[in-house]
Amino acid sequence: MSYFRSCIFLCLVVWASTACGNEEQEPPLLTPTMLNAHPDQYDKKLVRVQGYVVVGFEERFLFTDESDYNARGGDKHCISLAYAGRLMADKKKFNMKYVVLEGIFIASLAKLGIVQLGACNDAAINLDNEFPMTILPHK
Amino acid sequence: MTAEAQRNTATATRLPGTQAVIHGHIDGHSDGVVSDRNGEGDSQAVDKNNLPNGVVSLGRVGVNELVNGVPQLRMLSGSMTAHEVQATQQNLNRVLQDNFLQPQATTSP
Repeated sequence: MSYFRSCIFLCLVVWASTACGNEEQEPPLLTPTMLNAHPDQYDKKLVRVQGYVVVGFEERFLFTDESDYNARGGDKHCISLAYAGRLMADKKKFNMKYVVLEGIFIASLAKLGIVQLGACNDAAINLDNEFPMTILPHK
Repeated sequence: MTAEAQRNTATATRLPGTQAVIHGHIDGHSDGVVSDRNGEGDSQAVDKNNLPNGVVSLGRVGVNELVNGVPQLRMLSGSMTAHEVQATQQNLNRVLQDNFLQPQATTSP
């Protein structure tokens, strides 16, 4: 009986440690400005980013804030959307909205030999195909 | 360059020895050779990748390039309409100011 209890306890410990491990793996919520401040730290890593989406003709932008877009706030407040297929497929829903996205951060498209028109910055996010993109209330 | 079908952008992988890139603006879905009016648009490849960037529209061919530090659009085949000239000039002035003439941050002593 005590052997059985030990087994159950051991299973619980393993399950708890696995659950804790998963929590640690969940990417922190960042902004384009935060990513651009430390590009090497997040390069090629899974990130979750909150920002203002602008998609259109030669526009694949994710700005930290709408005001950065309106003021053409420069590279440091924007990352490019490396592949915006999911956003473009429902452009009316996502364009000009604050959205939480998840994907792999790329510190430099040029260093990977990628030429992308419509990029606001050499840094970009390659969107995850499965992550449910959440629209946030407008600021 | 490849494009997301009907999605108005273009992406390419730079192969060794690449001298330039070229892309098309979809007829009927774009304003001729005029680039994006908010971002760097077709000057992106010139600025970030140091590559001349050809553009094809309605059977005409132009190239975005940097001449003496100034971004320009030069037509290789065909000519721009008066509207395209005006819109492109506004675009290039903005890109020049925002991306090529950015004042460097300085710290006071």
